[in-house]
Amino acid sequence: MILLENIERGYNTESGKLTVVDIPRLEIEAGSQVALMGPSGSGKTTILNLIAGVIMPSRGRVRVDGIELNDLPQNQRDIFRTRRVGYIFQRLNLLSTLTALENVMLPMLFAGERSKNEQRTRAKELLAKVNLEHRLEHRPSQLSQGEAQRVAIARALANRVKVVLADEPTGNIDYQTGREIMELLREICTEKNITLLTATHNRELGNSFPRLIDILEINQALTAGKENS
Amino acid sequence: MGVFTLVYRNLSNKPLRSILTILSVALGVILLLTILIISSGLQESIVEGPRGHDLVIGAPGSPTQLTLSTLFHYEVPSGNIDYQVFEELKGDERVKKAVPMALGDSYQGHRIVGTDYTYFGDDPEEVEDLLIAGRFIEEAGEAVIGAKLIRETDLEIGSTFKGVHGIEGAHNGHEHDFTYEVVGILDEGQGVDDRVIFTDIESVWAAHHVYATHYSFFEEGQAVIHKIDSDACTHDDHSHNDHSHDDHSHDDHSHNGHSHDDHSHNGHSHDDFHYQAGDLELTAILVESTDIQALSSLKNELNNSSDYSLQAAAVSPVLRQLMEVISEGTTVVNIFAIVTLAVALSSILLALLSSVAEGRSDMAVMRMLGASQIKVMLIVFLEGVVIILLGLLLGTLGGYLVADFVSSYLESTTGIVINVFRLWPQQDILLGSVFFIGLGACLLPVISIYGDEPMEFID
Repeated sequence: MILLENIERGYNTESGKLTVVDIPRLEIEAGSQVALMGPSGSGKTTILNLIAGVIMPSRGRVRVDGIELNDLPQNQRDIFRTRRVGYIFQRLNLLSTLTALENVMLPMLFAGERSKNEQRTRAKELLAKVNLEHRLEHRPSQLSQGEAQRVAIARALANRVKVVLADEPTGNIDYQTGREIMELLREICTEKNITLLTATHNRELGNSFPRLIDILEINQALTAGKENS
Repeated sequence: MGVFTLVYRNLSNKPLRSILTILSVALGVILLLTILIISSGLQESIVEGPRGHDLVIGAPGSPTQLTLSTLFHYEVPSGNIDYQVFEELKGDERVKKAVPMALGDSYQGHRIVGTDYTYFGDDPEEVEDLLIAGRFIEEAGEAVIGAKLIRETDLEIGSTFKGVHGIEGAHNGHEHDFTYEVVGILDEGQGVDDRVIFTDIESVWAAHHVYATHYSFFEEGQAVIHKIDSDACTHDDHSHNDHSHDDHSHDDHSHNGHSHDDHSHNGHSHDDFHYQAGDLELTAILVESTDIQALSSLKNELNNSSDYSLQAAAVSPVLRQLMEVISEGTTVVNIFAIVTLAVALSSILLALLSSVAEGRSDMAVMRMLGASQIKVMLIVFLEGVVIILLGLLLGTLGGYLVADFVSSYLESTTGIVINVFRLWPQQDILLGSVFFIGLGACLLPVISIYGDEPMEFID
């Protein structure tokens, strides 16, 4: 389960502190699939980063899979993130110097839980799962956008994670490919009982999820136009 | 996949930049190491060259030329001196040891040096230990060769050869008809002596048609001349081996139609069976004096001698002067090398900064995937370490090869031998310094990514 309670997160700007997220409570059930809907700049990515433990809230607490992130020092949050959270970026962000196989092995390297052979075997299995067994040694530049996004999905699942956070995962690909990829991602998350939280501004995509959270309704920083100096 | 795969991929992603950075480090190391090896090698050769001799006595001329030609077999000797000087020095209480040296001939560019066992040490048995094969000289016409002659000439134990007049190179003078036989080979590591042919004094004299006895390699004694062929250069039909020095009669020989009775040398008549020692000459005498006062007194006395035409050169000042010249040259080249290395280390800094600037997005992705900040910093740091280590490795190999090339040139031109392929004093300090300064250069880019917020660099 994911729980954000009394969360506030802001940034210091030249004109003072800007609060971008102010959420009294957000709860997401384990294994559920949720779309976080809202326009650009509404704080969707910030919420994903709070859940991933990349950033910490200025106020409030974040609990993921029973772990209080506020209690963890940065290095522990890094370990938490690599072992429990899979992240899919809008621009894919595969490492251009690595092959598809190596990109999928990367989170396993950081987790340090598997031998090199195990990493390789697991990465091959995942790439086969996203129908890319024939593209193992290809670099990102040699893959189509859709193929690259499927590599990103495989990478997000590399460490048997509990939560997958997808930030506008279809934002950069065509409609049909986007639909196919989301279906694949949701299918895998269902199969493995992984909680899926997808940030999107695409209403059609949002509506396809069992649960849709409109960020405009939960983020009081937006509704109140809150800005402190 | 391990961290080193990431490091390798980052470096191989920009191969030209990586290779140029590695080469720039290697170039700096090559320069520094070459200078270290050559300057240390020269100093060692110069310091070890004298074998304890502190005075060189030879014909008047440049003291440096005399010292170099006698101790390092470099340059042409300035001439000969009266053998009688050697006899007098042997009896001088200020002289601990006097070593006779007779030069003038060569074989395939290698000098033939006539001397006795005292050149190599004080004890005949200890001297024998210097050989790796055969034995030392027991009678005239025998020769012991330096180890490098095995590779550089066709000589081996049992070989016979004839010397060529002159010591500047092979075949630029006429060939003597005196035949040498190789009876021993010196162990390698004798410095300049590795490329020299040693024989006894008597043989050098005989090669120049002065036949004297009672001066063998291991036995000291008053040299006595039996015969002198005045027209030495035309004597093609006899060899020294044809002579029995103890029993041959001067009248048994006739050389190219002229009789020895026709000649007189320095006032001595050939009718005498034995010539006087004063007719004999040496090229130089190495002297080990009993103490510093003896050295000074001996040097002054010899240089002011009206009886003989000679000079006495103290070894230390000449070598000190040489070392100063080397040291000055080394300092200038060292400055150049250090500047080169500084440029090389700056290039590491720039390469890593550039790599960090271009790779910030990738680093942010790694952070998002769970890589700790320390791990990301470690990857950048290891990129620098790999560049430095490869640069050091290439530089060390290159340094040895360049130093070997330079030392070969020095050996061929000066006769000074530097055995390049070994560990040198201060080599560890030099390479260690480059390594640690290089690590310092890596730290700046590493520190620059500390505290980066991953989300700032992710699209």
